[in-house]
Amino acid sequence: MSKREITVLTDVALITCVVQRGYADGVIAAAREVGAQGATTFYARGSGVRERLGIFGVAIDVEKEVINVVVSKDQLDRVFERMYLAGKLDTPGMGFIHVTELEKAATYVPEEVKQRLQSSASQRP
Amino acid sequence: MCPKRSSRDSRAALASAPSQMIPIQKDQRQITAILPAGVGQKMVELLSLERGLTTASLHRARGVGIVPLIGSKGVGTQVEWELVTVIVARDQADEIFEYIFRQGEIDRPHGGFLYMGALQAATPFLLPDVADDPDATQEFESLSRDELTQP
Repeated sequence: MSKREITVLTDVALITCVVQRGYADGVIAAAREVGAQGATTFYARGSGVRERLGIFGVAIDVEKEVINVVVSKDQLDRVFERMYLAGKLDTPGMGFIHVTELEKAATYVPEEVKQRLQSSASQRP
Repeated sequence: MCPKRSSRDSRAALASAPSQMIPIQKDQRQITAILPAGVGQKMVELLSLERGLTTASLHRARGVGIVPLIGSKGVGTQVEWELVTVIVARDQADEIFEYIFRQGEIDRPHGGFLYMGALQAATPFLLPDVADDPDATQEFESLSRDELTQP
Protein backbone atom coordinates (compact mmCIF):
# COMPACT_ATOMS: atom_id res chain seq x y z
CA MET A 1 0.00 0.00 0.00
CA SER A 2 1.31 3.43 -0.92
CA LYS A 3 2.41 5.59 1.97
CA ARG A 4 2.48 8.84 0.03
CA GLU A 5 0.91 11.66 1.91
CA ILE A 6 -2.60 12.70 1.01
CA THR A 7 -3.02 16.10 -0.57
CA VAL A 8 -6.23 17.27 1.05
CA LEU A 9 -8.31 19.87 -0.74
CA THR A 10 -10.29 22.22 1.49
CA ASP A 11 -12.74 25.02 0.72
CA VAL A 12 -14.71 22.81 -1.61
CA ALA A 13 -18.43 22.35 -2.08
CA LEU A 14 -20.64 19.76 -3.73
CA ILE A 15 -23.27 20.98 -6.18
CA THR A 16 -26.10 18.51 -6.72
CA CYS A 17 -28.46 19.19 -9.57
CA VAL A 18 -31.58 17.18 -10.39
CA VAL A 19 -32.79 17.62 -13.95
CA GLN A 20 -35.10 15.89 -16.37
CA ARG A 21 -33.62 12.96 -18.23
CA GLY A 22 -31.60 14.10 -21.22
CA TYR A 23 -30.66 17.49 -19.82
CA ALA A 24 -27.58 16.43 -17.84
CA ASP A 25 -25.05 16.67 -20.67
CA GLY A 26 -25.94 20.29 -21.33
CA VAL A 27 -25.72 21.18 -17.67
CA ILE A 28 -22.33 19.46 -17.31
CA ALA A 29 -21.01 21.22 -20.41
CA ALA A 30 -22.11 24.55 -18.95
CA ALA A 31 -20.38 23.75 -15.64
CA ARG A 32 -17.17 22.78 -17.40
CA GLU A 33 -17.19 25.97 -19.45
CA VAL A 34 -16.81 27.98 -16.27
CA GLY A 35 -14.13 25.81 -14.70
CA ALA A 36 -15.69 22.72 -13.14
CA GLN A 37 -13.18 19.90 -13.49
CA GLY A 38 -15.45 16.90 -13.51
CA ALA A 39 -18.92 15.60 -12.85
CA THR A 40 -20.78 12.38 -12.25
CA THR A 41 -24.31 11.65 -13.36
CA PHE A 42 -26.76 8.94 -12.46
CA TYR A 43 -30.40 8.23 -13.08
CA ALA A 44 -33.08 8.52 -10.46
CA ARG A 45 -36.83 8.54 -10.30
CA GLY A 46 -38.53 11.69 -9.25
CA SER A 47 -41.80 11.92 -7.45
CA GLY A 48 -44.49 14.44 -6.81
CA VAL A 49 -45.09 15.64 -10.35
CA ARG A 50 -45.97 12.35 -11.99
CA GLU A 51 -49.65 13.10 -12.31
CA ARG A 52 -49.20 16.69 -13.29
CA LEU A 53 -49.20 17.81 -16.85
CA GLY A 54 -46.61 20.19 -18.14
CA ILE A 55 -47.07 22.82 -20.80
CA PHE A 56 -48.82 21.70 -24.00
CA GLY A 57 -50.36 18.81 -22.09
CA VAL A 58 -47.12 16.81 -22.06
CA ALA A 59 -46.57 14.87 -18.85
CA ILE A 60 -43.46 15.79 -16.89
CA ASP A 61 -41.07 12.85 -17.09
CA VAL A 62 -40.49 11.19 -13.74
CA GLU A 63 -37.11 9.90 -14.88
CA LYS A 64 -34.47 12.27 -13.56
CA GLU A 65 -30.75 12.67 -13.87
CA VAL A 66 -28.74 13.68 -10.81
CA ILE A 67 -25.48 15.54 -11.41
CA ASN A 68 -22.77 15.86 -8.78
CA VAL A 69 -20.03 18.41 -9.24
CA VAL A 70 -17.34 19.23 -6.68
CA VAL A 71 -15.98 22.75 -7.04
CA SER A 72 -13.82 25.12 -5.06
CA LYS A 73 -15.66 27.80 -3.11
CA ASP A 74 -14.14 30.43 -5.39
CA GLN A 75 -15.93 28.89 -8.34
CA LEU A 76 -19.10 27.95 -6.54
CA ASP A 77 -21.36 30.88 -7.37
CA ARG A 78 -20.30 31.00 -11.00
CA VAL A 79 -20.77 27.26 -11.60
CA PHE A 80 -24.04 27.20 -9.63
CA GLU A 81 -25.48 30.03 -11.71
CA ARG A 82 -24.43 28.51 -15.03
CA MET A 83 -25.88 25.11 -14.10
CA TYR A 84 -29.12 26.72 -12.97
CA LEU A 85 -29.48 28.58 -16.24
CA ALA A 86 -28.40 25.64 -18.43
CA GLY A 87 -30.91 23.36 -16.73
CA LYS A 88 -33.66 25.98 -17.12
CA LEU A 89 -34.41 25.43 -13.47
CA ASP A 90 -36.51 28.60 -13.28
CA THR A 91 -39.18 26.67 -15.20
CA PRO A 92 -41.55 24.71 -12.93
CA GLY A 93 -41.01 20.96 -13.16
CA MET A 94 -37.53 21.16 -14.67
CA GLY A 95 -35.63 20.30 -11.51
CA PHE A 96 -33.66 21.84 -8.69
CA ILE A 97 -30.13 22.41 -7.51
CA HIS A 98 -28.50 22.55 -4.09
CA VAL A 99 -25.09 22.98 -2.52
CA THR A 100 -23.55 20.90 0.27
CA GLU A 101 -20.57 22.19 2.14
CA LEU A 102 -17.66 19.74 2.28
CA GLU A 103 -14.97 19.50 4.91
CA LYS A 104 -12.32 18.12 2.62
CA ALA A 105 -11.66 16.23 -0.57
CA ALA A 106 -8.79 14.20 -2.00
CA THR A 107 -7.77 12.94 -5.39
CA TYR A 108 -4.70 12.34 -7.49
CA VAL A 109 -2.74 15.56 -7.83
CA PRO A 110 0.17 15.41 -10.29
CA GLU A 111 3.55 16.35 -8.84
CA GLU A 112 4.01 19.37 -11.12
CA VAL A 113 0.64 20.76 -10.00
CA LYS A 114 1.65 20.33 -6.36
CA GLN A 115 4.90 22.16 -6.98
CA ARG A 116 3.09 24.96 -8.79
CA LEU A 117 0.65 25.33 -5.90
CA GLN A 118 3.46 25.33 -3.35
CA SER A 119 5.44 27.99 -5.20
CA SER A 120 2.39 30.24 -5.66
CA ALA A 121 1.53 29.83 -1.97
CA SER A 122 5.07 30.77 -0.92
CA GLN A 123 4.95 33.91 -3.09
CA ARG A 124 1.81 35.16 -1.36
CA PRO A 125 2.43 37.89 1.26
CA MET B 1 -64.40 14.68 25.69
CA CYS B 2 -60.88 15.38 24.58
CA PRO B 3 -59.13 18.33 26.14
CA LYS B 4 -58.96 21.20 23.72
CA ARG B 5 -55.44 21.85 22.45
CA SER B 6 -54.23 24.89 20.63
CA SER B 7 -52.55 24.53 17.25
CA ARG B 8 -49.37 25.74 18.92
CA ASP B 9 -49.54 22.84 21.38
CA SER B 10 -50.10 20.40 18.52
CA ARG B 11 -47.13 21.68 16.60
CA ALA B 12 -44.98 21.46 19.72
CA ALA B 13 -46.17 17.88 20.32
CA LEU B 14 -45.41 16.87 16.74
CA ALA B 15 -41.99 18.44 16.87
CA SER B 16 -41.04 16.77 20.13
CA ALA B 17 -42.58 13.33 19.58
CA PRO B 18 -40.21 11.94 16.93
CA SER B 19 -37.07 13.06 18.73
CA GLN B 20 -38.13 11.09 21.79
CA MET B 21 -38.57 7.87 19.82
CA ILE B 22 -35.95 8.08 17.07
CA PRO B 23 -32.33 7.50 18.13
CA ILE B 24 -30.60 10.45 16.53
CA GLN B 25 -26.83 10.52 16.19
CA LYS B 26 -25.16 13.89 15.89
CA ASP B 27 -21.60 14.53 14.77
CA GLN B 28 -21.75 12.21 11.80
CA ARG B 29 -19.83 12.54 8.56
CA GLN B 30 -20.71 11.34 5.08
CA ILE B 31 -17.76 10.15 3.03
CA THR B 32 -18.30 9.66 -0.69
CA ALA B 33 -15.77 7.93 -2.91
CA ILE B 34 -15.97 8.02 -6.69
CA LEU B 35 -14.11 4.89 -7.71
CA PRO B 36 -13.41 3.09 -10.99
CA ALA B 37 -15.90 0.39 -11.98
CA GLY B 38 -15.25 -2.77 -9.99
CA VAL B 39 -13.40 -1.08 -7.13
CA GLY B 40 -16.53 0.19 -5.39
CA GLN B 41 -17.97 -3.23 -4.58
CA LYS B 42 -14.65 -4.35 -3.11
CA MET B 43 -14.53 -1.18 -1.04
CA VAL B 44 -17.98 -1.83 0.43
CA GLU B 45 -16.85 -5.35 1.37
CA LEU B 46 -13.58 -4.08 2.88
CA LEU B 47 -15.38 -1.47 4.95
CA SER B 48 -17.68 -4.14 6.28
CA LEU B 49 -15.06 -6.84 6.92
CA GLU B 50 -12.11 -4.76 8.12
CA ARG B 51 -13.83 -1.78 9.71
CA GLY B 52 -17.22 -3.23 10.65
CA LEU B 53 -19.08 -0.48 8.81
CA THR B 54 -22.51 -1.50 7.62
CA THR B 55 -23.54 1.99 6.56
CA ALA B 56 -21.80 1.81 3.18
CA SER B 57 -23.85 1.85 0.02
CA LEU B 58 -22.97 1.73 -3.63
CA HIS B 59 -24.39 3.01 -6.87
CA ARG B 60 -23.08 3.51 -10.36
CA ALA B 61 -22.74 6.71 -12.31
CA ARG B 62 -21.20 7.96 -15.51
CA GLY B 63 -18.54 10.53 -15.12
CA VAL B 64 -16.70 13.20 -17.04
CA GLY B 65 -13.22 13.78 -15.71
CA ILE B 66 -10.54 16.41 -15.89
CA VAL B 67 -8.36 14.27 -18.14
CA PRO B 68 -10.34 12.61 -20.91
CA LEU B 69 -9.15 9.06 -21.52
CA ILE B 70 -9.96 9.16 -25.23
CA GLY B 71 -11.06 12.67 -25.94
CA SER B 72 -11.75 14.42 -29.19
CA LYS B 73 -12.13 18.15 -29.66
CA GLY B 74 -11.82 18.64 -25.94
CA VAL B 75 -14.90 16.58 -25.20
CA GLY B 76 -14.25 14.25 -22.28
CA THR B 77 -15.10 10.62 -22.63
CA GLN B 78 -17.74 9.39 -20.25
CA VAL B 79 -16.73 6.38 -18.22
CA GLU B 80 -18.51 4.29 -15.63
CA TRP B 81 -17.74 4.97 -11.99
CA GLU B 82 -18.93 3.51 -8.75
CA LEU B 83 -19.95 5.83 -5.93
CA VAL B 84 -19.52 4.47 -2.42
CA THR B 85 -21.17 6.44 0.36
CA VAL B 86 -20.53 5.66 3.99
CA ILE B 87 -21.73 7.35 7.15
CA VAL B 88 -19.28 7.40 10.06
CA ALA B 89 -18.90 9.11 13.41
CA ARG B 90 -16.82 12.27 13.41
CA ASP B 91 -14.09 10.80 15.60
CA GLN B 92 -13.35 8.02 13.12
CA ALA B 93 -14.05 10.00 9.93
CA ASP B 94 -10.46 11.02 9.21
CA GLU B 95 -9.20 7.49 9.67
CA ILE B 96 -11.86 6.02 7.34
CA PHE B 97 -11.21 8.81 4.84
CA GLU B 98 -7.55 7.84 4.69
CA TYR B 99 -8.40 4.13 4.64
CA ILE B 100 -10.61 4.57 1.57
CA PHE B 101 -7.99 6.76 -0.09
CA ARG B 102 -5.28 4.12 0.40
CA GLN B 103 -7.33 0.99 -0.27
CA GLY B 104 -9.11 2.52 -3.25
CA GLU B 105 -5.75 3.64 -4.67
CA ILE B 106 -7.19 7.03 -5.42
CA ASP B 107 -3.69 8.53 -5.52
CA ARG B 108 -3.08 7.57 -9.16
CA PRO B 109 -4.27 8.91 -12.49
CA HIS B 110 -7.96 8.10 -13.09
CA GLY B 111 -8.04 6.72 -9.55
CA GLY B 112 -11.16 8.61 -8.57
CA PHE B 113 -12.17 11.25 -6.09
CA LEU B 114 -13.02 11.32 -2.41
CA TYR B 115 -14.88 13.90 -0.34
CA MET B 116 -16.37 14.25 3.10
CA GLY B 117 -19.06 16.48 4.56
CA ALA B 118 -20.89 16.91 7.85
CA LEU B 119 -24.40 15.58 8.42
CA GLN B 120 -27.04 17.29 10.53
CA ALA B 121 -28.26 14.00 11.97
CA ALA B 122 -28.38 10.29 11.26
CA THR B 123 -29.91 7.21 12.80
CA PRO B 124 -27.89 4.09 13.57
CA PHE B 125 -28.17 1.23 11.11
CA LEU B 126 -28.46 -1.93 13.15
CA LEU B 127 -28.52 -5.42 11.72
CA PRO B 128 -30.37 -8.32 13.35
CA ASP B 129 -28.06 -10.54 15.31
CA VAL B 130 -28.44 -13.78 13.33
CA ALA B 131 -25.61 -15.47 15.24
CA ASP B 132 -27.90 -15.81 18.25
CA ASP B 133 -30.62 -17.46 16.19
CA PRO B 134 -29.44 -20.89 14.92
CA ASP B 135 -32.47 -21.29 12.64
CA ALA B 136 -31.86 -17.96 10.93
CA THR B 137 -28.14 -18.68 10.54
CA GLN B 138 -28.84 -22.11 9.04
CA GLU B 139 -31.39 -20.66 6.65
CA PHE B 140 -28.99 -17.92 5.57
CA GLU B 141 -26.10 -20.32 5.03
CA SER B 142 -28.28 -22.68 2.99
CA LEU B 143 -28.95 -19.95 0.45
CA SER B 144 -26.55 -20.11 -2.45
CA ARG B 145 -24.67 -17.01 -3.58
CA ASP B 146 -26.81 -16.88 -6.73
CA GLU B 147 -29.98 -16.73 -4.71
CA LEU B 148 -28.56 -13.93 -2.58
CA THR B 149 -27.48 -11.85 -5.53
CA GLN B 150 -30.64 -12.28 -7.58
CA PRO B 151 -32.72 -9.10 -7.70
